[in-house]
Amino acid sequence: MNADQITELARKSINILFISNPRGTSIGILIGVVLDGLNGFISPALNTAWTSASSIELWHFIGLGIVSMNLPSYLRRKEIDSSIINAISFIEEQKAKGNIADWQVKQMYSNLHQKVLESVSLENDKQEKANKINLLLTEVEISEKSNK
Amino acid sequence: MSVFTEAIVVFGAAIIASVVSAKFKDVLDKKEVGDVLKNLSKQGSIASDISKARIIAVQAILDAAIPGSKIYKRFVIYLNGSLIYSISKIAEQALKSSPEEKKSKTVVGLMLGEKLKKASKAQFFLIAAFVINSLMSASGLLSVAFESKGSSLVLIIVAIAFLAIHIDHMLLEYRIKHGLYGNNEFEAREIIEFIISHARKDDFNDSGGLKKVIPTPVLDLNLNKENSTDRGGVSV
Repeated sequence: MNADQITELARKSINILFISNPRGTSIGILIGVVLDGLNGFISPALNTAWTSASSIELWHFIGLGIVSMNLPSYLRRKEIDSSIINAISFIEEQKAKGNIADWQVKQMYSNLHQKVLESVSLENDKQEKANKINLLLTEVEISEKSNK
Repeated sequence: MSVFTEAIVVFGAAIIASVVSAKFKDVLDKKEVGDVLKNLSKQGSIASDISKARIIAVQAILDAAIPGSKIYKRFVIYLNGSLIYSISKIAEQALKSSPEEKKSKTVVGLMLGEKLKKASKAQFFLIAAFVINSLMSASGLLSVAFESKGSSLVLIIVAIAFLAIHIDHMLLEYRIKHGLYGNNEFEAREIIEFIISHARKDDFNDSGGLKKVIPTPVLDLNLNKENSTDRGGVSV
C-alpha cells in the first residue's frame, strides 16, 4: 500500500465513523449528556412508575442522541444521478483491471467533476462567492503576467 | 475513582493535550495560516501579489463559512489551522490553473469552507458537552442528583471526536498538498455531493426527476483533453 491508498483508507474509515456529519454527531453527544442530567433529576419519580428508569446509563443517552441527530440527514440525503455513479464505477473498474494509469484516473475524475459543474448551477450565494474568488484569482494572474 | 476510570481520564486528557499542541504548532509553523491571522488583524506586510491573492481568497472563503466577529474567526483558525492551510493550498493551485480548473478548484475551496464551518460547530458542541458534564459532576448541589456517573466517559468521547476531526484535517492537508485529493471514488463523491447539495433547486430537476448530469450514452470522459491536471493539486 502506498501513501495515496493508506490516506484514502484512513479518511474513509474516519468519515464513516464520525466526520461525515460531525455537527449532528456532536449535538447528539451534547443531547446525551443533557438527557443523562435530566434523568438524574427525574428518575427517582419515574422509578415508582417505571422501575428501570435509573438503570439507563449515559452511553444509552449519547447513543440515542447520535442516532436521532444523524437519522434525519441520512433520510434527506440526495441521491447522485445514476449517470455519475456509472461513470465512477467505470473509472474504478478500469483502474482495478489495470487498463489505465494513475494519471489517466486523475484526468478522468477531473473531467467528470468539470462535467458535473458544467451541468449544474450553484445556489445564488455560492455562485456569487465562487465568481468573486475566480475574478480575484484571474486579476492577480493578469497583473503577474504584465509585471513579467 | 477506580484505577480504570483514572486511566481513561489520563488517556483522554493526553489526547486532548496532544491535539491542542498540534493545532498551535500548525499556527506557529505554517506561514499560510499565520498570514491569514495577520490579515485578520491587518498587521504586517504581505510579500507578493500571489500571497495577497491567496490570503484574500482564503479570507473570502472564511467569511462565507464563518460570519461573525473577528475573535470567533481567530478561535476557529486556531482550532482548524490544518484546514486553513489546505484552503490556502487550493487557492494557490487555482492561481496556476486553466480557467476551467480554476472554477472547479474554487468549488473545492468552498467545500473546504463548509467543512470548516461544520468542524467548528462540532468542536463548539463537543466543548459544550464536556463543560456541562463537568459542571454537573463538580457542582456540590447537583452532584446529589447527577451522581457524577459518566464524566470519564464524556471526556474520552470528546477527546476521540476531537482527535478524529484533527486526523481528518491532517489527511486532507496531506492529500491536497501532494495532489492526491479527488482521485478516488470516495473523494469524487464528496465533491459531487457538495455540488449537488448546493445546486439551484429549479436547476437540478428534470421533468419530475433528477436532471441527467451526463447524458446517455455516458462515459464521455475524454482523456486527450488538453487541460491535463497532472501537475499536482486536486484533480478537479
